[in-house]
Amino acid sequence: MKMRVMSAAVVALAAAAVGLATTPASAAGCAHGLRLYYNSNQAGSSACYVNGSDNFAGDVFTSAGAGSGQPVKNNAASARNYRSFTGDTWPTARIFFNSNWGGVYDDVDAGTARNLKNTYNNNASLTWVL
Amino acid sequence: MGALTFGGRGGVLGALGAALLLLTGCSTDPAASKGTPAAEEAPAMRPSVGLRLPLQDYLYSDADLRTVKRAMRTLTEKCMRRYKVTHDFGPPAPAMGPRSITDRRYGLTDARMARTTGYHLGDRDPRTHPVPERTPPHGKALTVIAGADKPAEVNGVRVPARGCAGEAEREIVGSGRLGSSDLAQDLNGESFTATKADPRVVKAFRAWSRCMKERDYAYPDPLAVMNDKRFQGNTPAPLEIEVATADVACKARTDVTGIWYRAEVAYQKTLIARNAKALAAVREQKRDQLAAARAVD
Repeated sequence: MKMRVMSAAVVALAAAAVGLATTPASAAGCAHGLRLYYNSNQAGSSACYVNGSDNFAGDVFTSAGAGSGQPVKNNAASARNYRSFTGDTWPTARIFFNSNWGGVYDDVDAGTARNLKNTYNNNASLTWVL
Repeated sequence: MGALTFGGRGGVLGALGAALLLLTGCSTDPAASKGTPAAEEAPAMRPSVGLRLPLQDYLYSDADLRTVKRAMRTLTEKCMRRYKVTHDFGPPAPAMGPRSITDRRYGLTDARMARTTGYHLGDRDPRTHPVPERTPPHGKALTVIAGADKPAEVNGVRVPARGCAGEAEREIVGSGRLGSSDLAQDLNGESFTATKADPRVVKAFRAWSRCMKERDYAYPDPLAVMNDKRFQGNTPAPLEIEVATADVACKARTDVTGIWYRAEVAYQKTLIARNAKALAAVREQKRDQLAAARAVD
């Protein structure tokens, strides 16, 4: 059931993908980054990552909402990639199961959002594919 | 959507059972002998970066993603010329992260990297390639690139819906989406998770763990060692180099990577068969997008 909800969200976001770049208010200071969320469907507290990370350990969800103050590592349920084509061209965010970019991963394409599947509550590190 | 996900545990276990059967009959399986035997019989010493998983036919490689994105950028810039606006998107960013889907999937397997960068990524470490601060497009350029809330004209020409970037996306991506589908990604994760519990793989983990223990390093499996908190600094520590070198040597001795990889190949073949119809559409979309992109550049 959760999958169904996610797919609808992805379709909606894909349709709005390019528009996201012109609405920095929705990015809340993360216009050139990836936001990881404590809850599914981009709900709850979140944390913004502009650059890659070898290990989310020590990071906490910072924005207001469920999960605020909780650790990011192995604790994220969904993500939104705010980067699109302004300043860079459609970068893909890649979230890894293991620290040091090991194991399987989830890709979040530019200007889209997804629930994490392969790294659901198992998110450890991040890179970008440009 | 039901076909895109596994309905119940029984389905997963059934797939695993089939995968195990495939594994058992590997040497006599005609499909295995005419498939990709070079990869499937990879020597234990070889780094895993070149190993190819069956689901890669349905996933976008980094090169595929670059091809599609380069074409969309070219089309966006071409469209912008119609409006006589310019914007500097900057130079292409350097490649970073693991070199392929299998580079670090089973942990570190490259002896040279172990000796030089431990579990770090060296010049592919994304932290050494921070996202550059660039001036975003503004004014007419922003309207042309991204479009506007209401229909807009720039220099007397109507701006397409969602701007030139939207036009470029529609031309390459069509009604689909950019990059690997949820289905292909999810199945690829499922085979990884399921085969971690495959009895052959678990046995190989134990053999690798014993090999490491002989060198006084205690880790349950080849992924746990990458997670060692002591190996998370900005640069590799001397201990990290020692452990990484031992890790790759123990992987070679126990063939844990080969055993896990072969289990995944078998498992993925079963998943592909079970999802044949949905995956055919996934592959068609990928093929169409890449063909459209190659026609641009």
